Amino acid sequence: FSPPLAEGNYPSSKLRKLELTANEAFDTYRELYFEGGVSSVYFWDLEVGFAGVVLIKKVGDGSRRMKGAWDSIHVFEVQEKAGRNAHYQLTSTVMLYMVTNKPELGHMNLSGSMTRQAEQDYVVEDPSMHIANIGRMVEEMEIKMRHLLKDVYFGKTKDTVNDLRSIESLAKMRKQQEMQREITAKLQERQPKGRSD
Amino acid sequence: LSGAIKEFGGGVVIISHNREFTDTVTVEKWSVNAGVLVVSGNNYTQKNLEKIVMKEEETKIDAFGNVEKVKSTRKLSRKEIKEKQKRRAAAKKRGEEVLVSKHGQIDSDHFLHPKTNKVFKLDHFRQIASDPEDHTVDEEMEELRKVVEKDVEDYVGDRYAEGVLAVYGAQGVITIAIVHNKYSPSNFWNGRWRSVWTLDTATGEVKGSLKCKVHYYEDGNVQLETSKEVEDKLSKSSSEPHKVISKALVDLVSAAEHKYQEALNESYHDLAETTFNGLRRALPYTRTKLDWNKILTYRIGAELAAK
Repeated sequence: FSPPLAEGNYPSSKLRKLELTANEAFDTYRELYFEGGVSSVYFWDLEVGFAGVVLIKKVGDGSRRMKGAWDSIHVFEVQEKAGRNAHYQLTSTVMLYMVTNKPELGHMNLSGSMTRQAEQDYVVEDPSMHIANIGRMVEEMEIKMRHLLKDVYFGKTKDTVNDLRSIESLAKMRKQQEMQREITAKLQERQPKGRSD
Repeated sequence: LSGAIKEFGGGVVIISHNREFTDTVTVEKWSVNAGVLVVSGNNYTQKNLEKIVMKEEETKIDAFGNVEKVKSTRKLSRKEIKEKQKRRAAAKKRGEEVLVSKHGQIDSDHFLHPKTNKVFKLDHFRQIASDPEDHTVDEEMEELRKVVEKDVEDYVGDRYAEGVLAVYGAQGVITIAIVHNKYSPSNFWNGRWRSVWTLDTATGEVKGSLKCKVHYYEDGNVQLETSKEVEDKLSKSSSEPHKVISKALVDLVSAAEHKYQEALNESYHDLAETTFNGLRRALPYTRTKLDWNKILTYRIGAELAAK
């Protein structure tokens, strides 16, 4: 803790070793996916098992007059079971913030957040495998959430904007739809009944 | 005892059968009777409770006191959607949807509807308009205002499926306000487009303010908020016939809004391809997911030096 905190919550020494390794592992993860940014992993003991959080923050470089920031918060809990298995629970929140300021655009702020959960059992033959297991879960989760944010959420808001104001003249579009309907009707007339392609 | 309690500065729990006692000591009373909460005392009005219920309903503004409350708790079937659209189109033809803006504000409760030249009283909370009264017209501007209004109606009808507009003319300034709201809470999204344009007829200066807000919140929460200011000048002088000025104005508005929308779409594309990737890649440069077994033996420096 900085500044030092007497009653601070410290992990047990065994857990601390795991925490250090986890920080290194996630540093690598962060470099490979985020190419920059900052990450921290904190572990703490529970009555049974242990828990921790992986925090990642990446701030965009502001190129092309777009400011952005990605924040990941992954909270997980690990319960060791009899035998060689462990049960992992993960709750992840991703917060995204993207602001653009361009002359033809004015000011545009597209931001969002989402939270998802996952649960999984993995084999644990020695404590260091915890890190690999947690790492896999976090990676899967971030990939899924990134995809959802990009394609579903941004896609949906963009569609709504274009719903609010039509880029094409509505009259022109109605005419096109009319034409389509006429053509389809004519085609159906020509095709003898009972034929399928 | 009641005197002592009143003077006491902390919280007190009282269990009592004596109404006189509780009335002296308390200022507000919440009674629960057969599952219904009634609050009394201290000028508390029941109105505040209604607010919580009202939020669930969609209301439509209507110029002459008829309110259509549509509860959208389920997706409308295709047939119902078509019927709803038909009703709205008919309602619009009758001129029943009215735009409320600060440009038409007479005082905190009264607004002007320039098309019919009536001032109506607005119940802000229920969004009902009532008590229409005649309004004195700015004679000088009225001619131009009417022409612009017709052209803007055509424009709005062509670009905004269910847009509502108002054109005000006062003190040498024509103000155009366009609003298009789309609410679909059952599908977890809402959106609104607002544009306000002013033309100073003396100088020909045109100023515009375009605002767009979209909220999508199914299992998540994403919001888009954009705003743009435009400044331009009409190339026609104020001595030209009204029809010419109006056409030039609406052309300018239409071109600017179109350009803005294109810029918006382009930005979406840029954000998705560039900024988003700049924040977090889809996959590392190795084009595969991490091998977590090996990661524990990676030396960060060495791996990245090889990149």
